[in-house]
Amino acid sequence: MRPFKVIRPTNEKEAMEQVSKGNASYLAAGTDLLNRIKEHVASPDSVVDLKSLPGMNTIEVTDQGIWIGALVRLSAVSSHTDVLSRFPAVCETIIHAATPQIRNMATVGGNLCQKPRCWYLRHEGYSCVKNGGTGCWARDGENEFHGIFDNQICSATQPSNLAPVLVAHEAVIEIASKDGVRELTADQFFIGPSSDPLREVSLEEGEFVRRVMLPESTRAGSWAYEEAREKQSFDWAQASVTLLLDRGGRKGDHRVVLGAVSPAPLRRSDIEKKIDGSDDEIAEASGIAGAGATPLSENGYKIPMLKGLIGKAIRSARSRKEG
Amino acid sequence: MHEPRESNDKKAERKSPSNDDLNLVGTPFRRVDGRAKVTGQTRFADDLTFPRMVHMKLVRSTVPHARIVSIDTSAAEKMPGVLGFLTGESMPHPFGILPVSQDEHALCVDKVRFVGDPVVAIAAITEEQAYEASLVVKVEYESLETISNVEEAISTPEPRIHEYGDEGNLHKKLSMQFGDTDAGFEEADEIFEDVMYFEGNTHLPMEQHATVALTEETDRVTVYSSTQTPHYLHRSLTKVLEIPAARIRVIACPNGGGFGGKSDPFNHEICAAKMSLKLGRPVKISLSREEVFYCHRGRHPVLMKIKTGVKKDGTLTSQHLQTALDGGAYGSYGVASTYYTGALQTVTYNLPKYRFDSIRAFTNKAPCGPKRGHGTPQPRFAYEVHLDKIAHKLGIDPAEIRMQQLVDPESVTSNWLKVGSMGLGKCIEAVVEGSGWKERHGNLPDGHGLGLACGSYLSGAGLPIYWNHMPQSGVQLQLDRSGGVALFCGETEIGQGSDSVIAAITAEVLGIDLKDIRLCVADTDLTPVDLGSYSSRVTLMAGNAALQAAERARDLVAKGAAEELKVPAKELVFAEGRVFHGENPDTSMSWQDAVIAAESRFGTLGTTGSYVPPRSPGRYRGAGVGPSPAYSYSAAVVETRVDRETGIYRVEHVWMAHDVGKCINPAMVMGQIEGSVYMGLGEAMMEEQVYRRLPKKRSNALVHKHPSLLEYKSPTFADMPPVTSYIIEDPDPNGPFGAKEVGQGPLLPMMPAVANSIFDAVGVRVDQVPIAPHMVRQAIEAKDKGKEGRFGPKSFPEIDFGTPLRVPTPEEGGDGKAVNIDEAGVRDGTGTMTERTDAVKGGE
Amino acid sequence: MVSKNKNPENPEKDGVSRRSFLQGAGAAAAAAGVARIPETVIAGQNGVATPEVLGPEAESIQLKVNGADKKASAPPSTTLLDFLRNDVGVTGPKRVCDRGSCGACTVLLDGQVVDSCSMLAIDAVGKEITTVEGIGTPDNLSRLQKAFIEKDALQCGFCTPGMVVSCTALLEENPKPSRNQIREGLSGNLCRCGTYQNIIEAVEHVSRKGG
Repeated sequence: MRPFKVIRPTNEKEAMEQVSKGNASYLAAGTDLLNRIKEHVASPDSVVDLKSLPGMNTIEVTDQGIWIGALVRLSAVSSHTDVLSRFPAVCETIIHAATPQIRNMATVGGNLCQKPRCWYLRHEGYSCVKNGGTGCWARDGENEFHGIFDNQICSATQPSNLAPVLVAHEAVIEIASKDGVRELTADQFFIGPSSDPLREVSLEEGEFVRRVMLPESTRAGSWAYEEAREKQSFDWAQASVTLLLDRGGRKGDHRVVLGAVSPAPLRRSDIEKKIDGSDDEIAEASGIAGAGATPLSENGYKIPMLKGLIGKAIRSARSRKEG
Repeated sequence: MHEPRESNDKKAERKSPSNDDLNLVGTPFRRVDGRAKVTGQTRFADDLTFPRMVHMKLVRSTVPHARIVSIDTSAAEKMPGVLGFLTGESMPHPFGILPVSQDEHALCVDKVRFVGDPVVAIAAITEEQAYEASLVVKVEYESLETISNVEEAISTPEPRIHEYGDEGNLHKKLSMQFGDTDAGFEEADEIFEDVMYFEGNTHLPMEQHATVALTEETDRVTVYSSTQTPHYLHRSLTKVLEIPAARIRVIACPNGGGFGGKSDPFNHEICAAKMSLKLGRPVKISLSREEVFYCHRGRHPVLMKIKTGVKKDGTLTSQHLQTALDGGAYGSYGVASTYYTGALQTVTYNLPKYRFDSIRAFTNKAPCGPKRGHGTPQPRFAYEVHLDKIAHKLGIDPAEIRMQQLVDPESVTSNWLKVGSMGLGKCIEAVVEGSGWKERHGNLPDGHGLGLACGSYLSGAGLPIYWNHMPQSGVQLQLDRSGGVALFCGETEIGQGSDSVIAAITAEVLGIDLKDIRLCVADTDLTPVDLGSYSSRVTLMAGNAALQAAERARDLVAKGAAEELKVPAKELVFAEGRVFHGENPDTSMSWQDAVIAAESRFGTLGTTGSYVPPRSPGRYRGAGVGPSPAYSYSAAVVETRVDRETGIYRVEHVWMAHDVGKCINPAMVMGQIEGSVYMGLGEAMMEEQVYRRLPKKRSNALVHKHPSLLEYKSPTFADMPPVTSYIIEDPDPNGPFGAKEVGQGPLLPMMPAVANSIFDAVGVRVDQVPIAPHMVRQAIEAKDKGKEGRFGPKSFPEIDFGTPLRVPTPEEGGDGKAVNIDEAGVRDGTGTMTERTDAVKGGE
Repeated sequence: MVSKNKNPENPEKDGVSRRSFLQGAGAAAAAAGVARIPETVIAGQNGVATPEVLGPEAESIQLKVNGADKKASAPPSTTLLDFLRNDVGVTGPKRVCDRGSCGACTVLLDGQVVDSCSMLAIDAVGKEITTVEGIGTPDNLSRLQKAFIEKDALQCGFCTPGMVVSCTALLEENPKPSRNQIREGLSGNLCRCGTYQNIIEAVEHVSRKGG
């Protein structure tokens, strides 16, 4: 890698100051940033190490919900007894992500802010709408792993496996900003290219994620997280379905959020409505999986894949009860 | 005292211990390199450092086909730490693994032929500095038309990628006919025809290629490299560097995986040597993972058309196989690969009449070469799926249709391959029994199926790569009066256990502890030539050489001991570190004392052993590819579950039986079986070396789609199903203790067995590899709509192969020669005998 | 300099411009220059000036590797893997993909498996790093290493250092893992020789014998 400076601020204000000076990026664990630097799709002159900041490294259980610091490693989240018992879908999605080594290193914040895996975006020779140019190479090129929804401007998908689950739980994302701290709900945090093609998350210049809160009010006793992948490890999902039923004990308060098929996690309230406990709920719900999809030349397989995953998720959720 | 070299044709001279009498061979002894490997002590090439060592990087072409207009290193020269440059001008002699395709230059001279083709070498103090400097080297290219696949190569004879080749951009075109295949089709009750495709894939060894070169005095250079073939590298270095071979030393480091990807002499190896000579310092180069994908030399993508005539009872009457190989930008082993896509069709099931046509095209992509199986997995896939379809149509069990026409042991095939031991029947029986085939095949519920397939592979190619009359493998033993034995052999350990095999054979014969053998391997200054760890040759060939050297050593020591013990030498038994009289074991002495007794009488003790494969009966152009001292056989049953809706399938269990002749070490044999199963599974399910073609309105640049371990899919722990392995031992007279190969054979049946299991599960065919879920799904959808339930290539290109070379079969009373050489217009490509002999002398 | 292809509709002529094949080389910096202010990043020290700035030139870095202090000068942008292999001569962990996608560089960081290629060496300061060399030596093999040999759980040996580290950590955390747990625990280590089955047996062997 081309050598860069490492700056270690001791408070958030300093961090934001440093990252605004010249060509700088935030560094958490580095599992994504270092790879992008090695691939020459990122070349900061300095990195601002968030790990030296206090207050972002713990998991706190409150009445409101569970606050997870952005610097907490993924494996720490998935093995935390309270997260496991109250928000098992979060743990389920983590244990399928990447590898044990990566899960020990990668942070929650880094996971949410990782850049898409689109092979054109991650190749230094291509310029597209996502990195300051125009157009989308994948649309007329190779798009096997790209999105089938909302893919007109950019067809890359949100790679974070946590993202759909956080949207389903209406998690709160706490952001360090110039004016202090602000909050967004997960569905506001993850944005699509129609909002701003250059970003996947709603962070202004210099902002970073401080903590994530899983609200007690969206706990679900019946839940499922199903995904399909080419390889059973080391791989991102080709498609995923997060299903929460009767959240907070409220009958009919379901969430169906699709992952890896769109630029931001896609909530499907139409599918939610079909999950009504009737005998044909699976057929009805999975039957409309592809509604509104605009598949590209190579990723149409994601539609029947979603159908299958929705069916699997409903069966799985129905068989679970709150532990 | 030197013993005269005996020809290995005289089998009666060999006095192997009988297989009932073995103490070490046949037992699961611990591999000799295990301890060092589990503690991280093994020194692989990139682990080596030397004082004053510097680092080298290669600047590689960013365009797929172009003339080099200019190279400007002026900016790079000013970069910190930069010490020197090399360009193609300084190494004008071409090289290449095969004498008939010496078409590579250490650095491109006037043309680049694929994205990744090396153009400039830069050395700097640190790796990072070399890399930074490489970014500012300016190479100006004048782009030529890009040829991206076989169809384009056929339709675009100009511009030629190479100035040689059978025609235009076809590197090789061949056509051979054994027996009257048309008459054979007439005899048939039914004729089946299929078109199948096998995508290219790559070796993906864990260890990237790495080389360290250093000089001793001004005209000696030593090259440490992760190579499977130090001897061939040695020859190429001699040629390109123009330094006498005796002043070049190549040491092959233990390979962190090769699988055929490190069997060519490479640009980076030659450049490292040249740079080291230029700078007078050690030079290291370690390829990045991405560069390894471009180095490639992996499995050729092959399109195949197979036509077979059968009687209604399933008996094969005739076969016509056509293959079209996408060779990439250079020859590599490609001519041999081309012949291999047809050669072994006849060694499993009786095929009385056989015609084989093939082309290999040059394209502007990374060059293809040998990967585990070398050209045989592709046609074996086609054959085994094709046979499954035939069996299904005729209502014959797929296992039965094979069992009823297995090639006989000790027979000669229609294309003149001599088959020795043949244990395929036992292999099929084992997997049929183990998997519950008879009850379950065709009877499992929808979405659940079993598939069966077989394969065969060589235990070493019968001919060396360059024509010569010398042994393919040699072993030298030095017996020390301490009781230790030093074993010198050119073989290279690539993980297949070759170090352990030759040590064990030697220890067995001498009756000593494995730990008392000191191995000195793969060093062209010190060890007798072994041609390399490719084509599964080492156990059989180096093993036989070790056997001979050990027997001679034993006989020498026996003479000395006999005189001491006053008993006849041939009544002495060597075991457990002692030499004792068979009839009266109390009359004995330690091995060490026996060595001293012999050394006292005969002087310094050393023996050699060598191996030359038996000559094959084929005498036609092309007969050199296919023969082997022995063929291994494998049979597999694979159990799969398929999700009809998505096409996603999971292999749940693999039963693999392999006829290895004789296990030198059953644990290691199992390891090779499982490793082959693993790699075959990867190829069947997910591995593909494919390229991204930029839109026509752009430059047509062909870049690799997945040049990373993340994107090039290879099965992980989580993907690997349980494997039940059966070792079948049917000793072959040509193998040491009867041993045949196991490193490649078990891979072959995997891909077709997976395809066949999918058919059994959901009734559709995917006639190509890798089999992706969307292909299964599309085939299911087609079938549901009343169309053919198949996904695969539609057609084979129309190619005029001209008149085939006609070679009457043994059944027809032939003599192994072709009868129509002129009519077939057998083309120039390989030289005459005189030319070849001259080539040997000239180091070509 | 890199010149980007502007956009798909308006292409540039010169092919995949500046596509370099020298990526992922890792920064292997020898002491090409000493840090302008020799700040030593040593375990346990705190109270460094705010904000601390390291590099880009080489700094003195000291890590605790296999119980011993290892110190060398390297740019702070050096990955832990490159620091171990190139700067302090610990060549057990291997550089295979350099992207956190194969596990050959696995080391333990305070007992947890990590891909050393995907983190900075300076982020390992103050932690216990264990490589394969720290798990056992040829004349003092760990039980797991012995089991690897007994069960022939290796062939070419290149993934072996990472495997040994991952297996050791797995057994440390879970002395009696089920087969599935073994698979999951080792799912971050790739092997191309296909030794998975024997590795599982080696782990089971140790777990049966009392972990």
